[in-house]
Order: sequence, then structure tokens, then C-alpha cells
Amino acid sequence: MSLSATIDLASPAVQAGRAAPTPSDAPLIRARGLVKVYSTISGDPVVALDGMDLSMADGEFVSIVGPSGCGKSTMLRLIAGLDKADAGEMTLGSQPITGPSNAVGVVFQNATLLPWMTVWQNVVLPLQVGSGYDKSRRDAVQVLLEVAGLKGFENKYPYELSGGMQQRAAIVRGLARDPKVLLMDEPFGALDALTRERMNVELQRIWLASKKTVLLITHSIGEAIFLGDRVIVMSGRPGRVLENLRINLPRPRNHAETIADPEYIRLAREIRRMLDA
Amino acid sequence: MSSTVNVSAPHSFAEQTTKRLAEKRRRDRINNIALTIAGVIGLLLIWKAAVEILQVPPYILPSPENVFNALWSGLAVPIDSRVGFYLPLWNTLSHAAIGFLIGASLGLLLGSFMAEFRPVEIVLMPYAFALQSLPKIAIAPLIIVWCGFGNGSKVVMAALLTFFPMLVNSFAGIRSTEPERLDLMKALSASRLQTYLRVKLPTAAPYIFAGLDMGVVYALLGTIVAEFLGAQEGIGVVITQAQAVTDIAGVFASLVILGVVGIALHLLIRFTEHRVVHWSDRHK
Repeated sequence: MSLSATIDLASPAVQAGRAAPTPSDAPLIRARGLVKVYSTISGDPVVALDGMDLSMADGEFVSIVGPSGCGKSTMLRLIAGLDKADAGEMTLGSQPITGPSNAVGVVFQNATLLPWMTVWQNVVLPLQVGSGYDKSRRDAVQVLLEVAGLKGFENKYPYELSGGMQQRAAIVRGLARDPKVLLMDEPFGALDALTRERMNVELQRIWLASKKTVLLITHSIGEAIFLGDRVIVMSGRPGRVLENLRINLPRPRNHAETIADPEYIRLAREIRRMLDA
Repeated sequence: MSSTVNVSAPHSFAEQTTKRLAEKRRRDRINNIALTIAGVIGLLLIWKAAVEILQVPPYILPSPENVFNALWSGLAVPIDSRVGFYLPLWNTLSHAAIGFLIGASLGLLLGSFMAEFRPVEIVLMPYAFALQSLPKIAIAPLIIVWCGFGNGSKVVMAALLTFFPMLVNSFAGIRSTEPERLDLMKALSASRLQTYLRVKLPTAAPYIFAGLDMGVVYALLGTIVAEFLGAQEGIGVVITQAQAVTDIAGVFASLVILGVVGIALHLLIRFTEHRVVHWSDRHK
């Protein structure tokens, strides 16, 4: 990959072959006793989350895996400030989370690029609206585009890009404001299996280069383990934490090696047993 | 592009197939055009035959060549001639255009307000519904009473008829914005105006263009109706005057002119739409 030079420059951590991050004393994100109840058209309220706890260290990559409707997307929406919790408290650093913040970037399920904007217009959108107005970050976004392998595609429209490229552009947009935390809601769910595996490697690369704290919501056990420093397994509705697994597989990971690792196999089996139970 | 394809072979199978398919597409297109022309000629022949065989008098149905002569005598005049089609056509079109612009702008504006602000929607929706199901042409006599036998009534009728499809379409278009896109703007803490301009309005663009497409035909319709009911100039006046002297070929010629203008305006809107909303039919 011709991009490796950019990444090496961007992050000495890559060369060091970064291990699991050292958990600092105070977590970057801390959520306690989160409760979220949705009202439905039929009138029966649905308890999406029932006393969910989460804490994430600075620079940590945490995957949440769980069955459909377990409230993992709800969790993400609460941290993103898109929805309000009915009970519980959340803090980012020392600040309570009360709404959307520049310190949090979100990558949505279906890339959600705006089709009337070029790739460049899409990725700099966070610098042009709301509280993110900042021209000085444009160069940094350009570098991010290069890291994501989208150099030369700035003036293309989303429909001219493959699904994988669209999702990478969405990741760049999520990082445009240089947030502390990147929240990803099943970002690769719509991609075919091979593209998805490649995207996992790409995401790991971008993450290693950017040193962000990442929360990844996924359906895929393999993806959760492959990318995570930690995997949180959630129960079906109402959502609670079943297990909190530390993943000590060496980085950078690649599919050929990692999937054959006995530790990977053990973890995958353990998570599957929990979800099947 | 696969690098394993032998580029030195000038007539690879893939290349030949591509060429054959392109050739077939071209042939199909030519065939379709030929078929359309044949249809028009066939219709004219049947028309002519029917008039001849059934001995239809020209004040009921003129023969095609009568209509053509009427068209020609109306078109083969200087552009500023007092007789002929140009001056009345210009008069009709310019007032229809003014009415169209006013009606389209107001429709978009009010449709946007209704979509953005619940109270506005709740107050105005009943009227929009009631007026939507009312045949708006029926308001024309009232408009003549209020605005007089002149160009004012024409503009108002055109504006009124353009307004409703624009109102309904921009409302529906803005409301169709995907929740994910709204989440995106919310996560960026974008202002309401930013969300409207950068997400909702572009999302509504295909709907708005559909409204414009309807509106442009309605504007012409409204103007002609106002001219029928009382005006001094315009194609509508040309038609009623021709009718008064049983110059049915003249009526037909005017209708042909209006038809051609209608098609031209429709194509203009479609062309603009393809330029502006280029992403619409191709994405997803």
C-alpha cells in the first residue's frame, strides 16, 4: 500500500505495533444505570435499555455485540446526544453528556453521505455547520482522505463510489472535527463479506493512525473481536451487559493470522455460547 | 479494469460484444423514431380520409391541410405583426410565466413553512385539503370580478393554479427526508436553517421539480381560461375570436401552437431537473 508512508508519519504508534492501550485511572466515557424506554404506535412502551453501564478508556476500541433489538444502537444514540436517557448518567471526560458535541463523531449505518454533495463537500460538512465551523481543519481532513484511500475521489459523487469507499468517506466525515470519540453504528452491515473484512483492516489502520476512542456497534462476532480491545456482549431486550471481554490479540491484526489464533477461536466460541443461551 | 485482458488483441470477444450491443441500441433508437413518424403520418392520413369520405364540413372538422394553412398564415408573418400568432403567444406566455414564478415561489415557501412548523401545518392543512379537491378553474369568474378583464386576472389565475401542486409537493418532499440524514445534522448540531438548506431542500428537489412540471402546464391553462373569460390579448382571445367566425382551422392551429409550447416547457423543466438533480435517479 502506497499509503503506509502517510500513516507512519501520522502515527509513531503504528511502527511500535501498538498493544492494548494502557487504561488510565479516569475513563474517558462513563455511563451508569442508563434506562431508555420508547413508546410505540401500539401504545406498549418498549424498554430498550434497563440499567446499562459502560466505561471506555481514552484511546480504547470497544465493540458491542448483541442480538437485534438489544438496545446497542440506543446506547450509541444516547452517547451521541441524539436521544435523551430516561434515567442514568453519562459523562465524557469531566462533562456530562447533554446533547451532540464536537468531541463525538458518529458514523451511521448506511454511510448516509448526502448524494447531492461531492465526496469533499460531504467530508467537510462537519466544518461548515453548527458548532464545528472551522476552516483550519481542511488540511487535516485532506490527510484523512488520503489515509482512507480516497485521494483523487474528492470531486466524485457518492453514487460513483463503491459501498466500501462510501463507508470510508463516512468515517472521514466522522473524524473531520477531530473528535475524542468515534461512534460507529454497524458501519459495515450493508457490505458483502469480503469487502467487510477489508474494511475491518482499513478501520484498524485508520484507528491506529488517529488514536481515537472508538465504540463499534456490530452484529458480527468476528468483527467485534477482530477490531476490539474489548468486546461487550449484550443480552436481548431489555439490554444489559452479559459479559465484558478483554481481547489481547496482538496488533496490527490481519484476518489470515488473527482468525487462526487459538485465543480468537476461544473468544468467538465463548461469545457465541453466550448469545445462543 | 482487469489487467489480465490481452490489450494487444484488437478484437477481443468483450470488445466485439460491446460494439454489437452499441450497434443494436442505435438501431433500436432509429426504429423507434421511424415508428413515431409513421404514426403521425398514419394519423394525418386517417384524418384526411375521414374528412373526405364522410364529407365532414370544415366548420366541424377542417382537413389537415386547412389547419396547416391556418398555421402557416399565422406563423409566416413578421414577429411584431399585429396579425399572426407571435404577439398573442408572447402575451399569453409572459403572463403565464409571471404567474408561474409567483405561484411556484409562494407554494414552495408556504409548503416549507408547513413542513417545518407543526402549528402552521395544523392551521393551514384543512384549507389546503379543501382547496386541493376544489376544481380551481371554477374560481376563475371570481378572479375576473376581483382583478378585472385584463392581464391581472391572467397572472393571478396562473399563480393560483401553480401554487397548489407546488405547495403539496414541497411539503411532501421535505417531509420525506430520511431520519438518518436528520440524525446526521443533529449530531453535527446544525441549525434548523442549515438542515433545511443543506438536507431537506435537496431531498425535496425531485418532488419540487415534479411540482414545477405540473405547475408549468397549469399556469398556461389558467392564463388561457382567464383569456376566455375576458381579455383583450392572448392566444385564448385568438381562439375565441376564431370560434366566433367559425374559423375552426384557426382554432386547431392555435391548439397546435399551445401543444407545442406545452411540450417545450415540459422539456425545459425536465432538462433543468436533470442538470440540477443529477444524483436523484442514479443514487441507490
